[in-house]
Amino acid sequence: MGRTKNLGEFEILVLAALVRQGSDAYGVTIRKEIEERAARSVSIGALYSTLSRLEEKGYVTSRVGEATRERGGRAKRHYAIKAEGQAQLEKSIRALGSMLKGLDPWPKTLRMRATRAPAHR
Amino acid sequence: MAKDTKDASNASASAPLGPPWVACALLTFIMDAADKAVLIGDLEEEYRLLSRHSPRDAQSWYWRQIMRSAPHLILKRLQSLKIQPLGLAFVALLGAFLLIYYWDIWIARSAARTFAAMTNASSYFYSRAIYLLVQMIGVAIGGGLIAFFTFSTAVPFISNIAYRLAPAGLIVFAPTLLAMINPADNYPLSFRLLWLSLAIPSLIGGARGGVWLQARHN
Repeated sequence: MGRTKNLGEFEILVLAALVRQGSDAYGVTIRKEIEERAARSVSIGALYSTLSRLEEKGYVTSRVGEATRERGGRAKRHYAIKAEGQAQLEKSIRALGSMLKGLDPWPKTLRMRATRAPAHR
Repeated sequence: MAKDTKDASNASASAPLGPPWVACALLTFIMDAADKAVLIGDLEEEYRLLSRHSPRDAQSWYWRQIMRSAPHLILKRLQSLKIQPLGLAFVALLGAFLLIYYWDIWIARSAARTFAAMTNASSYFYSRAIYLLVQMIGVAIGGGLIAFFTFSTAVPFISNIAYRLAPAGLIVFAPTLLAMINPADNYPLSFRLLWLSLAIPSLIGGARGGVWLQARHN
């Protein structure tokens, strides 16, 4: 059974971080980028399981980099976004944008929809 | 600037040699071989940076990372074993069952015994309360595990409670439930009722936590 090709919210954040950082991105820098820009705490385990899922989906490629002393002699794994990943990211952002378009002021509208939702079930 | 350099050198003088070894061992145990070195390397790189300013904060950061990463890494490892969803649900149930069983025997009862030993013999009520409190933490963790591994994002939370948490919870907590209704066990009725009235919200609260973790994972 193949995995769904749609992107989850955290996958979008990770791909966006990869676009920003280019081909030198690795675990530490991606994590920091998301924490600083999205103001959200990210665990290294969540990041690596997402990166590996994106790699399985064919959106991301990786290569083993150099080992350094401050890493205890362990190698880095650099990640880069592939053309398919970039296309899927753009598609997801467009979809999100068109869903949010016209929701002005959106917090009030969303609140109204949330209270109305149970009546439709 | 000079002060910063002095602070950093003072901190590095008192800094431990490396990240906490117990945490490293735990990580090594739960991870599959493929990314182990890379992930530990990333953690060590950030740990060393943090420990220049405060070794204590660095240690606590490292532990927080391990604890928050563990569910993702365990799930990834289980998925890499190519277990079918039914098998995965079985493994999760078994894991939760064992967790509850050993939690009860090793942790909840030990906590109650230790409390009783530390205080007077008249503190029966309080040692029972400690036992209940610790056991409910275990129930919440069990609920969280069931939710994390079995809940579907396609249906509302209440449906997940009815079709996944309730049957799984009945299986996982069967021994405890039987002990609670068995008249041969010397539990007073009030204790049984209290247990049930605490266990259900703890289970559902734990499941909420599991859903939260699941959402972060996806």
